[in-house]
This record gives sequence, C-alpha cells and structure tokens, in this order.
Amino acid sequence: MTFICIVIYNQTQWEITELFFDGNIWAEYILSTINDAIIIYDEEDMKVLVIIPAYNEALNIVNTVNTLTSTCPEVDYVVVNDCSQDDTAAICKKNGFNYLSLPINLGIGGGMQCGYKYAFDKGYDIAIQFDGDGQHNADYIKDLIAPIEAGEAELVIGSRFINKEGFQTSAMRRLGINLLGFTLKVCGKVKITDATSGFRAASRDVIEFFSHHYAQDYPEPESIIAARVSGFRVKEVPVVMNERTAGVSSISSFKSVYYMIKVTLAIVIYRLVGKKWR
Amino acid sequence: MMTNLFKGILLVGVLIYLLIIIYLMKKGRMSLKYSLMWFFSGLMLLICALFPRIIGFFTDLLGIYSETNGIFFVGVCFILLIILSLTSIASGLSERIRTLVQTQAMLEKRVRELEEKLENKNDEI
Ligand SMILES: Nc1nc2c(ncn2[C@@H]2O[C@H](COP(=O)(O)OP(=O)(O)OP(=O)(O)O)[C@@H](O)[C@H]2O)c(=O)[nH]1
Ligand SMILES: [Mg+2]
Repeated sequence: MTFICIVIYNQTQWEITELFFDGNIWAEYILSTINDAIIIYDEEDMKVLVIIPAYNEALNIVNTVNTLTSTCPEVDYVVVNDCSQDDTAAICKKNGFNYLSLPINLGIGGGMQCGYKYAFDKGYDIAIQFDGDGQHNADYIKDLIAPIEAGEAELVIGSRFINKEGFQTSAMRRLGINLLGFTLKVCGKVKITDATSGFRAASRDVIEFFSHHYAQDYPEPESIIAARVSGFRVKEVPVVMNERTAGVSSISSFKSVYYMIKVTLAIVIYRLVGKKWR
Repeated sequence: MMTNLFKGILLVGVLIYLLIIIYLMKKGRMSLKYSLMWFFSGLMLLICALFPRIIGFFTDLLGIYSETNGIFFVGVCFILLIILSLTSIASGLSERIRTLVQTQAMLEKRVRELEEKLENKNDEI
C-alpha cells in the first residue's frame, strides 16, 4: 500500500490531510486536482518476510512453501532448518528454496530468532512466523499484516479461538492456553485468547527487539509479555488453523503440564524483573 | 572441639585439593578467571584447618555447637556460591553459542548463494 500525506495551504494556515491509496493512479489523479499541494511523505510498499521454522518437516515443507508462494506471491520467505534429523535440508536445496540451515539444534526460540536477525539484516518491515507443518493458512497473512500497516499494533497474533473455526487442538491444551491468557491479561494488560499461537506478524521495531532478545524454551507466550513490557502494542486477529497432516508434534501431552507451569512462571518473572528495551 | 585426627584429614585433603587446582591451571584445563573462586574456597578451608581458633570464634558468634559443624557450614556455603556462578557461566556460554550458530547459519547461506552464482557464471562461459 502506498501511503501519502498531503499538506495544503488554506489561505491562513497549512492543513495536513492524510490519504491512503492502494495504487498510484488514484494518488496521481487526486494530486492533479489539488493546487498548491506538497507531498511530504510517499512510502514504498512494506517488505514482508515469512519465516518458516522447520524441524524434521521433510514430509510437509514442500507443500507448505508451495502453498505459501502460490497464495502470497508478493511476499518473501525463508525456511529455518533447525538441524533436522531427516532430509529437510536436502529437500530445501533440491527445490531451490530460500533457506537458512543451523549447524546445531537451537530449538524453536533460537531458530525463530535467527529468522528475525535475517529479516532485520535484509531490511524487512514485517516478519511473519509461519509453521513448517502446514497448520497455518496463508490466506490469513494479509489479515496479520493489516494492523501493522495501519499503525494499530506492532505485534499481531493469529488466534483460532476468536471465531472458533477450524482445528481447535486438545481440551487439555485449551485449558492451558486459557490459563496463559489470564496470566498475560494480569501481567501484560492485554487480551490474548491464543497465547501459544505461532502464527504472528512483527513490525520492524519488534523484529529488531526480537533479534536481540527472544525467549528460548517456549517463546510464543513469553515473547508477548516481553513485547508488552517493552511498550509495544499487541493485537489479535481471527485465523483458521489446520490439523497437522504429517510428521510428529514437538509437544507431547506430558510435556504440556510442565510447559504450562514453566511458561506461567516465566511470564510472571518477566513482568517483575524484565526491563523496557531502549 | 576438633580432634587432631580430623584436623590432619582436613589439612591433607585441602592440600591435595589445592594441588589439583594448580595442576589443572598449569595444564591449561581451567582458566584463571574460574579457578579463583575454587582457589579462594580452598584457602579458606586451609586457614580453618590451621587455625581452628578462628573458626571457633565464628561458631560462638553464630551459635553453632561445634567447630566441625562450622567448617561444614563454610564448605556448603562456598559450594552453593560456586554452583550458582557455574549456572551463570553456563547461561552466558549458551547465549554466546547461540549467537555464533545464528551468525554461522547466515554466513553459510551467503557462501552457498555466492557459490551457486559462481557456478552459473562458469556454466555460461
Ligand atoms: N527451528 C525449530 N523449529 C522447530 C523445532 N521444533 C519444532 N519446530 C517447528 O515449529 C513449528 C511448530 O511445531 P509443532 O510441533 O507443530 O508445534 P505446535 O504447532 O505448537 O503443536 P501441534 O498443534 O501439536 O502441531 C513447526 O513448524 C516445527 O517444524 C525446533 O527445535 N527448532
Ligand atoms: Mg504444529
């Protein structure tokens, strides 16, 4: 989207008019009808990078990347192969995908952080996390970007529990997600219905923040409180998620009880001792 | 009161302990930065073993029944401190390794792409 701000001299004073256009044709048309107008700001389209964390996703990665590139041809993507045991790396190379390959497994936190560093280095304005297992639907990428482009939020989370459509995960995990939502509400003053959602978009500032500080073990909920403590606005938008089609989930049911205790504590501790970034 | 037997054991034990530390440092298997705290704790124990009066003074002050208990107390305190600092060292190291790995991955990507470009150029020629 092209954003144009026009300043018009109105006999006695300068008046600022903000206008949003989807294409340049309209902008030029409006400009040609206004005399004495000065364009003070004309920004190019925002550069968007989709970061795809992949650990042992040999069965899904081709499908995921191909659906993404056909649904959203205008965005760039990078696969972060986190030292997979299967041939995820070989498949990425063979298919000519754009990918990063970590020499040792850092976990989803370190992997995503690498993606954010890459996004920051390459000058992207928006970075989107998009799971390599095909559970996220590329149709919703534009919905994730919209609040950032409109300047309403810096971190946008895709939630499957707002419209309650699509794959809703196990009852056990939903219970945990509600608990995390409550904790985030108390500690971060923000309403989050799907705290563990990995489908999210980050603005340039948040990309920079994450490339310096990113929670490592279970980063999704913790990064929300980190962003809040640093003064970023977090917003949720409804999305639909699919069930995993192949491969194995990295979260087993035993682990998730431990996960909940650990992450809840991490959020509270971050609230107490975390510092505002810059 | 400390028996002479225990005093002797403590002395010999502490001396061996200090020797091991010096040996490790000489071999370069322990960096000076981290060896200092071990060295210091050994020194404290040595002083306690040589001059039990000192420890006696402190045990009276803190309300500990016997000097032997006092020595154990000092030892446990040091061990806790050292373990704590080890955790902090390990955290720092993993942070550094992570940064290193991420930088390496980005460099690997650049090199890979440069090589591919070069290959394509060579093919054209
Ligand atoms: N970089 C990196 N990515 C990982 C790692 N483990 C899992 N992932 C990726 O993280 C994404 C989410 O992992 P899942 O195991 O599907 O977790 P989930 O989606 O929260 O759980 P399910 O709802 O059961 O699928 C997938 O794209 C995985 O490939 C890891 O160790 N490193
Ligand atoms: Mg998944």
